[in-house]
Amino acid sequence: MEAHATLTSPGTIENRSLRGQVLGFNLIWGVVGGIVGYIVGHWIGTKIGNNIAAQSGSDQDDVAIFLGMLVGTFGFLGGLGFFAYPLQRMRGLPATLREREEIGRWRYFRLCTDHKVVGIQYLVAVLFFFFVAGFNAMMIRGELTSDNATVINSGNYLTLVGLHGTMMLMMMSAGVLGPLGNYLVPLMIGARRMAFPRIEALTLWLTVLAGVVLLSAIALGGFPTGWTGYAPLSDQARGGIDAYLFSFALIGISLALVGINVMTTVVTMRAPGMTWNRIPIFVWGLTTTSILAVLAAPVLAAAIIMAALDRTADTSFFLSSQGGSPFLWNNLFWFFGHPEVYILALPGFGIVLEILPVFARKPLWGYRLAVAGMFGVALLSFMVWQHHLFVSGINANLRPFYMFTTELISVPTGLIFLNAMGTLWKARIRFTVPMLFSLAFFFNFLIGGISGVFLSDVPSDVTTHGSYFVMAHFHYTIMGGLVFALMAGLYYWLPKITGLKMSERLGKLHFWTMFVFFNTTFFPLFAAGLLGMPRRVSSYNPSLHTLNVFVSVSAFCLGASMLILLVNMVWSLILKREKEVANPWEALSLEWQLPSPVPVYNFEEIPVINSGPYDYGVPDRVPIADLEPTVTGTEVGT
Amino acid sequence: MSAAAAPGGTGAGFGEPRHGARIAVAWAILTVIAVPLVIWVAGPHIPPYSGHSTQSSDQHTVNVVLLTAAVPVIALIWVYFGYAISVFRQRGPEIVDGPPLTADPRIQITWLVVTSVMVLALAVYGTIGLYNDSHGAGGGQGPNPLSTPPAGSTPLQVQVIGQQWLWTFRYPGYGGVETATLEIPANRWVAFHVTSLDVDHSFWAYELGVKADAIPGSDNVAYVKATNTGQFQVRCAELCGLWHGHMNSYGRVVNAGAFSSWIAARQQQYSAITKTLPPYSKVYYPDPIRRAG
Amino acid sequence: MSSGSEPQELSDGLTIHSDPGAARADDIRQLTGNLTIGVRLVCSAMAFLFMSFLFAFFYLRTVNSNGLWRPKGVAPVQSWGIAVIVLMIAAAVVFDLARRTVVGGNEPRWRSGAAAALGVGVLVVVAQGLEWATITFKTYQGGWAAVFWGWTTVQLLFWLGGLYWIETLVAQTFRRPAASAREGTAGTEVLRPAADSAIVYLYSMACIGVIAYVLVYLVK
Ligand code: HEA
Ligand code: HEA
Ligand code: CUA
Ligand SMILES: [Cu+2]
Repeated sequence: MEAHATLTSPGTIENRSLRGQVLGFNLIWGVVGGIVGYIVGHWIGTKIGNNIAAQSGSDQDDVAIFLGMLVGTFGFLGGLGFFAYPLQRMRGLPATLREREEIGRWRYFRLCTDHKVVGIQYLVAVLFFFFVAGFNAMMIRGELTSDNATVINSGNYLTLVGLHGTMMLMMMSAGVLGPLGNYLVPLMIGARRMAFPRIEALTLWLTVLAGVVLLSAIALGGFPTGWTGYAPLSDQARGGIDAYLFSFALIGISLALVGINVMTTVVTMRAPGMTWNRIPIFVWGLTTTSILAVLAAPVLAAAIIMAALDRTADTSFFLSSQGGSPFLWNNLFWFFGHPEVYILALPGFGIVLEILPVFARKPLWGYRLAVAGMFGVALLSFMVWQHHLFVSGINANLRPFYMFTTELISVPTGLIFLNAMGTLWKARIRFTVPMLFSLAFFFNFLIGGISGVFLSDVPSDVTTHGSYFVMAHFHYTIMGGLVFALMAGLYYWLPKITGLKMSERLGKLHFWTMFVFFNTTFFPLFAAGLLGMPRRVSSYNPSLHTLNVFVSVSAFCLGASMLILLVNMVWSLILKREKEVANPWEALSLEWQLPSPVPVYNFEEIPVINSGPYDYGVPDRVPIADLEPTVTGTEVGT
Repeated sequence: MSAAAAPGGTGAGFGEPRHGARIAVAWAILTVIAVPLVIWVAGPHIPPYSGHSTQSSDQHTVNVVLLTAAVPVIALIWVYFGYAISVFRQRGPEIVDGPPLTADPRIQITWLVVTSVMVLALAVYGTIGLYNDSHGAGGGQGPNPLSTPPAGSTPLQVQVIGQQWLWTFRYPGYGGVETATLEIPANRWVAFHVTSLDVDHSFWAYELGVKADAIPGSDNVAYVKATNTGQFQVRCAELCGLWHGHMNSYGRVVNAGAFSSWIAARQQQYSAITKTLPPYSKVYYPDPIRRAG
Repeated sequence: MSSGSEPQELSDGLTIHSDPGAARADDIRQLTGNLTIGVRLVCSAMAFLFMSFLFAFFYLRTVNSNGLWRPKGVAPVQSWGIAVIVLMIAAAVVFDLARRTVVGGNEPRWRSGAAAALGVGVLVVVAQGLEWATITFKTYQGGWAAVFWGWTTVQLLFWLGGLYWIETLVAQTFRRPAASAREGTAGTEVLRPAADSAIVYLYSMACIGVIAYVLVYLVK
């Protein structure tokens, strides 16, 4: 088609003609490929399904659904152009990174391997699905204004809960790693790209596809299992569960690949002088998250393969009457599930500890301790999974062990609090929007964490397991923790990413409404749980009606508050477009020393790092990096 | 604790107020006020309410103890953050850097030791609650419970069978009779053997403080000793499909005499049906229903 | 997408140097590092995936629910199972021996060895197919059957991934001997790290194959 610009000279990047853009691989062809693939796969699947004993002669068509989704996935990726490169390699052609050679709007709608483009694509995708899942939450709360399933019927209610929980956890586990991780990690460690740019793009499109596949569960009859997908309920459910399984598998693959990419990048791509103790704490947060992702996601994938085989090939992994066991799913799911919840926590720790020093104008207090805390959390999180199964009767005699390890996680987590307190000591705090969100993180997460300690105590958990107390606990840690941190991160880094100002006034309005209504929504639910309200029910004891109506109203206000974020983004970034200076917060870390928005190649020359990122108040401090080193250094920092 | 309240205590200049001391005092005052409030004012209102069974009474105590232990931690964080936010501010338009303090290892170690000790204490306390009171705190313990009622007591065996979406209760000591409502005698140990015929459920007798998952192919034992007569709710605490929210029932705690006559009446009433039931077994293996709706 | 023009070799935009020689050295150093770390992470992920199946095996075996962990008569055909594992190890070893000699990419031992490894690797797929085809038990016959099907399916998928990798290396070698000769040792610098990483993957797969063999045929 066009001549390929050589990447060793950034000046010659070319833009393609409109015709070239439309005819080349892009999202349109991806969608077409996905749909055609689904139809073809489904058709083949019905033929195969007729030969499988359990399926012939029933209305079950899981083989067809799975095969449709599988072929559809390949169609989608093919339409986006993901197979051009592997096919080329199979023909023996050398490695190139041609997908990167473009500028202009179109690259946002196609396979692009520029980490900054992928970051923005990720951000849009994740926010979109976050709002979809949030909208589901609004419908859940709408139904719970009635104590007897009058608004939404039970089946649809369960589907809503499942969609909300699964979508939120899927999207939020990629919610920081994807957008902020891909965008910022190279900038923060002084690299021009991530280690595996094509895999980076793949993870993005798999995430997008996973969101869409999950939503397709609605068309397939919904699913009754919540986000935990317990077997044998999942064996029994209708086609919607296939969408749940398939999308969760896609996310699992995507997460593991993101983890591999981030970790490799951090190990091999650091600029000279970016020694281990100069790596920004945010990058450490993502690195530890990546460890969890690489090791935990495959377990989820394995469990899903088993569930899928149970449903399609008639195996009996989870059927106790046929030599299987439901406990097998419970074990595997939570072996993944608990690290998963820390995949949701660690990036938050990273963000708030990155932001606090900037607005406290002080070095991060206890950097090594913070890193140690993160590693401690990551390690321990593999040893606690049966605290979700305290009353299940599985290994009941190991409960003291799991109680102890679970409570032990409070120690490394507490270190994050200590770091924050040390950093705030005699600080010069500026109450900017990111800072407000970061401070609120500690307020909320404290409540969430302490309630977790209640749950980890077996006698207490006997009352609260499966009740709204658990639900309040994890909304305090996830919504109050991770999402508040994500908001802090967005308000902090969007000016760098877009080069535009965010409205401070709307930001503060967003913060205060979100903070207040978040707490009024979820705090009363601790009480609801203790008073005996089970989770995942659309009808409940009438004595709890007033409480639930209050919570629902608060939740709607919380939803309105989230809309302020949208308004702010549209107003500031699309309508007003007021230019922001390169370093509005006067931060010292590397990414803020670059122009905004960041040029295609990030760094003119690979910088040489001279100091850590938090030297606030240090006398005679040197600039963090020499951005135009005279000697082209070749050694990666050690 | 108070040592941890003043990280970076070095670097206090002349004329500066003694922030550390102020925080420590505020924290101490708050704790001293809040702890009794939590124990004696809020405490009695924390569910589950005591008095229905040994188990729910214990769980109530545990919750009060945990909350009391949490108060100093929460108070410390709130006081510290509140103080920092109101005192350590940027004043004036110019951005001023704070003192570049390094982390004092003594503070770090103190904090680590204090939190570790607290955690250890919590774990020991929880384990004692689980085993020493010899009933596993009312939670499901699986087929071979380690924590059993005191020797000599002969628990009443009741099998709890979950199925979409109802509960059935079977009394193996009384010819394996099955009933749709649950009755147990007061002041006698009861052993619930919880199992399921289809998907996972969870047997939750809220007032009794009993929760045990009902898993197909598994015999999950939970003990309770009801202390008062009266009604209690039974519901399902594990998502089991469409009518999970409606899988409710009631049970009654009655005195021993009333129980004997009740169960005798049931045995008679259901004798014809009992014969057609599968023989009593710890678990049942009905054919898997792949699609139930 | 692809056009007639010869794409730039390794134009990853890793480094923008005025001196192309130094840029190339940097690129290759980066590539080597990325591959080395990347493949080890992939293998750890893979290890956890198969660990799940391993767990399933021993868990279901211990529970022996309804006495149906492994009903009588549920046994695969020994011969094909042995063939799968022997061929897997053989492919990895042949590839390893070939890899040790690769310098420019046109060494006869590398070229024939890598190609042979690919051939043996394809035979693994054939043998696995035959094992499945000759099986006498049904998928629903107990937990053992479930684990057998799950494990072998996933193992084959990962093996296909390894074959893709070998294939790209072989294809490169056969397409570009002249080019690498022209550019001096250029071919090696790219082939060698890739081959070094590929062997880590292949040996990991072989280990998994051995474990599978022990589970399926030796554990009673
Ligand atoms: C971001 C996500 C996140 C995080 C960080 C946590 C953190 C913790 N969680 Fe939570 N949890 C979830 C998400 C999360 N959880 C989810 C989603 C579920 C439900 C899944 C489902 O069933 O659907 C769940 C369920 C869950 C259960 C199972 C409940 C049940 O179903 O019966 C338990 C039980 O032990 C538990 C415990 C804990 C503990 C002890 C922590 C600890 O890590 C908390 C540690 C933090 C602190 C303690 C505060 C700060 C520390 C200090 C200030 C130091 C001093 C403190 C002490 C010495 C105590 N969680
Ligand atoms: C990332 C994790 C995450 C986040 C952020 C949230 C956010 C919210 N969640 Fe979610 N939730 C889960 C993860 C999460 N949840 C999980 C894992 C479960 C368990 C599922 C299961 O049991 O399987 C669950 C379950 C759950 C339940 C229990 C359902 C049940 O058990 O029956 C409820 C009920 O109130 C609820 C409510 C909310 C609300 C009100 C918010 C709010 O914070 C959401 C705020 C955001 C928005 C509202 C979006 C923005 C606004 C719009 C799109 C416009 C529409 C606005 C209006 C109509 C006003 N959640
Ligand atoms: Cu039975 Cu929920
Ligand atoms: Cu957990």
